[in-house]
Amino acid sequence: MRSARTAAWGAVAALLLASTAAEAAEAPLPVRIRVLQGSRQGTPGVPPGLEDLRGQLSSTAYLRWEQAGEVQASMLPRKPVSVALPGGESVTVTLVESRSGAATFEVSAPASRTQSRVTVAPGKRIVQQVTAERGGSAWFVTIRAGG
Amino acid sequence: MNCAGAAPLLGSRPGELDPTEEAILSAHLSTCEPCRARQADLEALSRVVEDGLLGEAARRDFSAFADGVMERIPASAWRGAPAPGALGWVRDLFRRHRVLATASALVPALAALALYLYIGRTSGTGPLEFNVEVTSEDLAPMVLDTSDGPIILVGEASDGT
Amino acid sequence: MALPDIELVDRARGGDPEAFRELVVRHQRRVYAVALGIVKDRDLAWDVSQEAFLRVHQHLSEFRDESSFSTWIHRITGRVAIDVLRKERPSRRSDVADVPEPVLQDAAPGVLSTALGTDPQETMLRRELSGRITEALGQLPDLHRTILVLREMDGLSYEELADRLSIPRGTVMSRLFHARKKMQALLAGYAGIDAPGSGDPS
Repeated sequence: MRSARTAAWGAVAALLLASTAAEAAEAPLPVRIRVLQGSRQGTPGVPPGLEDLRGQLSSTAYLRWEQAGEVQASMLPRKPVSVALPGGESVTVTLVESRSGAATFEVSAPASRTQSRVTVAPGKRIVQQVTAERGGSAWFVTIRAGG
Repeated sequence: MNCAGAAPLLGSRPGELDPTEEAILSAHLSTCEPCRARQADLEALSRVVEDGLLGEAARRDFSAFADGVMERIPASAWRGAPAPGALGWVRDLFRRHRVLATASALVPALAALALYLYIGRTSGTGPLEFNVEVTSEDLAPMVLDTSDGPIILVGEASDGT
Repeated sequence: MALPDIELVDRARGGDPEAFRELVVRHQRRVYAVALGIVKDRDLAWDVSQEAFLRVHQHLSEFRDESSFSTWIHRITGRVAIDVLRKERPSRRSDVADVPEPVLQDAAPGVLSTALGTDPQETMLRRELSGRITEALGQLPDLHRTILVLREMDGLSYEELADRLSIPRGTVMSRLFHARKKMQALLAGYAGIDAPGSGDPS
């Protein structure tokens, strides 16, 4: 799998997929989504931009991390956000609902044929593997509500 | 026209009787108090039949009903390929592969601080529960619970790709 | 944020399973109530109800926007329930004939409505009788019960009933009359309302 460095990903394009109905106005939830690559090989560590993830990522067997892209979106319920992965695949993140106590996201990752529905408290971060491991590396997205 | 003749006309709705029947009924009701009372009985009966049947429905647990209907509709019946973000597709897939979410195939050398698999639905009423549902077609998913939040991993493809 | 039925139907027609699921959830209980009234058995009513929604799905493209979705699905439910009844008892032709019913103690006219009250407040008696409705309905012959439920729950007109059940309009009216009369007698019996059958047309 190509290393993130060669992909020249500065900003990942986010596509707001169309919704057919005019939804009543709701306060959008600021969500930060980052695309990461984790590898078993290479020098263990995280780049400065991922320092906040270091603790969480250390729970996995992937030692070396790179960021490949980032999306900051104001998400409304049921309006999917598509996040492109290097290599042409994409991941869809949808806010199901958000309340003061928690937010629920659905993440659809066809590349790994995986779907998840996760409810987290504000400030918690979801880290989801979105491609199967190949050559010791895999792609992940992280989702954190509240920016 | 006596009560016996008028009786089947009771309980009719506007427009259901032809003009002759309508005339007969009006004429009879204007002079027959018991038949007016019978008409009131029909109203009462109608309400109690409806109440009774709806009450039965209210007492029954319907939480599995919609699932049962949806499961019997093939996924291909929904027009087009599952669109990204079509939540129904996600739920249907989850149900078909629920068992995979409970697989605990450990990825070798995984340094897991804590390994939990949360299986459960976010309840529709009451406070939200913190939980994770994961489904994967052929990659055993795994959830790690960390203090910063959950990590969802997938295992290796069964076909080795 | 509840979308109207017609919007959900449009989306379901467009292939949106979530819209269809929402329609199911919205109408499931009322559909079940109709099915239960006709087939009597709760498990059978459950199956009939699910089958009704499946048929709705199969025929979504035929739904005409003029009528309400609710009406449409009730009609379908009634049809499925009647089909099931016919399959269960294909040869009970004796149900068809309007033979005189065994004599029941008929309540005097107006007793039921007086007892149940006409104000919107639920009286204790009404609640009690509601709870016994399936029991009472179960005591009616299939055809009487069917026609009563279709009339009271689905709101079918005499003409629609005649068409649906393939009987003349006159038969619809007299069968409804007998069904109601028997129900009233049963309910009066449950309620302990005793009155001689005075002035009762028979």
